[in-house]
Amino acid sequence: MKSMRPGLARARGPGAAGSGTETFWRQRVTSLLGLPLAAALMIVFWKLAGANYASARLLVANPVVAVLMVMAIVNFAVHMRLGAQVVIEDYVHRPVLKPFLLMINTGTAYGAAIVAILAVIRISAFG
Amino acid sequence: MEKREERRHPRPLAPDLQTYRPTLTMTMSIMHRATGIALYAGFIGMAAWLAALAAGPQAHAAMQQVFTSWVGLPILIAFTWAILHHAFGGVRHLIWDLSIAHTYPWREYLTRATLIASLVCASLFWITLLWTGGHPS
Repeated sequence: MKSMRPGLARARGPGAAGSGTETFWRQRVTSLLGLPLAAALMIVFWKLAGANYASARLLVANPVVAVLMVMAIVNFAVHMRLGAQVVIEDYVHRPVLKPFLLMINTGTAYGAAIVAILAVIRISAFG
Repeated sequence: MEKREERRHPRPLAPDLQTYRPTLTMTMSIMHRATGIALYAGFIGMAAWLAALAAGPQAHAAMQQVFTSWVGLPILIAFTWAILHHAFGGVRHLIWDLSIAHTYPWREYLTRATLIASLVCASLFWITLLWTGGHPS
């Protein structure tokens, strides 16, 4: 089908919003990446289940485990922030509350991710 | 004038959760969202656990006590099921995103398959884990 949009609008791209479908696409990319990363996390959870303090530290300090955990943390922080953002945008329409909750969401998701990443780095890099 | 007209014949509303008869695909869509939000909380719990492990033996012991208590353990079990349910549900949505299995009866089979897969995998995970007492590695 021939496009209904005029040539100039198509050339200029996404229009007045200045952006388009990046978040939709990023949610799909992080969901696909999340499948092997979630499997890796499940294996780590499994190994941690019966572990005492020393063996838990040793496991997280393992370079492969540490790298996989940081990758998973980054991936899922992005994914869950976007997911919660959609939920907020669907159900909250009050002018001040909505942007406030969106900011809380971003801060919580990335804040928790930073805490988790620093913990993994401290365990793996500084023994 | 316009307002009185509106009161007599209210504008049609978009059909939503209260209007439609509940179906499996709809319930699973709601569950996908619910498990997503639950995993958000679980992620914060995981960050707290890692912070405690990094902080030292005392913080780790306190955190372990919470996670292995009669309150913490069911939450952990629910957390692993939520991971699997959201992961399998995510695969279902990715398949639907590719315009595959939209029609009856395939969409119903697919939806049932992901629900059963999440329940079976979560059960296997915990039965084996509790049976063997975990890895003392």
